[in-house]
Amino acid sequence: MESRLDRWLEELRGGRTDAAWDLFIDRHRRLIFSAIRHYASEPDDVMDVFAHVCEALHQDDLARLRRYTDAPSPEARFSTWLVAVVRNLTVDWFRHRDGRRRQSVPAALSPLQRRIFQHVFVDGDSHEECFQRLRLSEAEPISSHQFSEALTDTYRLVHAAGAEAGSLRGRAAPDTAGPVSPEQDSLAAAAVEHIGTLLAMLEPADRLAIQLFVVDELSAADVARIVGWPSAKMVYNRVSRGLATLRRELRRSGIEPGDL
Amino acid sequence: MQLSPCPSHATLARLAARPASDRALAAHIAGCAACTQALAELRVLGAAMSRAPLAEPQTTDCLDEMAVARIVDGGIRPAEIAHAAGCAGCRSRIADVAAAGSTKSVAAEVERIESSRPDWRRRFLGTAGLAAAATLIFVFAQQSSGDRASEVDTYRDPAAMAPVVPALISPLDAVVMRPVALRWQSTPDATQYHVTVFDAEGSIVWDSETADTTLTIPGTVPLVHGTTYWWRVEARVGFDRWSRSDVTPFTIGR
Repeated sequence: MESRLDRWLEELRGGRTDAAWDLFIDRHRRLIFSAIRHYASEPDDVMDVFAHVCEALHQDDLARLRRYTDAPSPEARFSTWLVAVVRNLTVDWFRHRDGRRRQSVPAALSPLQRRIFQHVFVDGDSHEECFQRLRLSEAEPISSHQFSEALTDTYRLVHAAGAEAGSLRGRAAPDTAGPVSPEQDSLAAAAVEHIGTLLAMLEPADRLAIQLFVVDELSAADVARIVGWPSAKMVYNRVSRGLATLRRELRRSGIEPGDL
Repeated sequence: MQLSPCPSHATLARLAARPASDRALAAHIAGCAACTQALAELRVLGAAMSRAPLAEPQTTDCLDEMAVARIVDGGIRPAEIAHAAGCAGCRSRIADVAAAGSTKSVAAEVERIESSRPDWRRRFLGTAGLAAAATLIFVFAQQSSGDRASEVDTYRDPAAMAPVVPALISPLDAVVMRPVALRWQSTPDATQYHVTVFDAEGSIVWDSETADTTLTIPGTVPLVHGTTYWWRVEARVGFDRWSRSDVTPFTIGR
């Protein structure tokens, strides 16, 4: 049975762009919708994002699709590549929407908080990405403790001002465990900094696996496939050993879990 | 008082990332002070890791959409492991696409699309592409010979350059009764096969290895009537080199 995927490719290569588009969207509409719904839950948002995705893919004679079809030897499945493209277009749509909706930066924000607002609420960066960008750009080095405090204050001020806080994946505001002593703050900051140092000492594959499994909460099967390990069991074992190493080294440095 | 033996550290690591769906396991942890403390420590450690400063991102090496898709498909390259481990942006993109691909609806659509294109690699490669692929396989072989022989360096063939993939015979998107016998065609140069069964969420339900081309899922594996599972076969075709089939569904008949 002739593949309908090949039919749209044949039309595209034959210069019949409209026919190629019709066949492509007929074949992949459901996948596109499914991928969008992973990021957007409101039905109106889903339809708007779908329209944005279609417009972007159709633009310039299906130029974006040609990036895959014209590649000499595509290295990934077309459907996986399409999910990656839809992900990026969905992120772009949310960023533009939230940029338009933003009334104004709450006046009470400090310069650092304004930069956090831009990264997290407008650009849609994760807290971790925001912290990395600030560390690279700030003239004065910013500690993780300073960042955590500023991030918490930014959330509080933004919500108090009633500003729209678009969040692609519904990230929650950082935990606010209540007032702590300066000594505890300092200990926690040092401990988190030390974790970063310890993570950097792990094998890159182990470090990536731990981050994907623990921080990004991917399944062990997904982590195994991404890192290139043969099974989920290996993920459990390597992550377990890596975490045990972190715990042991932290304790050796005099840092207990309660200090985090 | 412990209700059952304490789970392994690996199991606790898994639970630190997501709650236990196993009631007996959850009950044990609730009643075991040692496990409760260990789990709490792992969760605190995991939360602290999300705030830990990482290596500076190498923005010139950041991954494009094709690279992200290739990695999600299982084709990461050694240099990309180090970059992804240190770049929150790229890791976030990889995690996003992988998580989206693991949802039931997306996985079902991917399978529907890809299963109708069993020879997509040959269609795209063409005659000229095969020569390019042969060159790249040679390059990868040269790289592999200089790598450390370790578990870390086991990496997947990029999908487009994979040798012959295992062809699944049965069950193929069918309703089957227990015990479920999995069958596939032998793969040239394969010395071992690794079979994995997933549930709809992408969690591994069962896996095993054999030198044969058939395996029966043991009766002790809890397969639920009316539920669809997914399975795939990976053939070991060389030292630290595996060729993987696509995942195919089957449903347990009532």
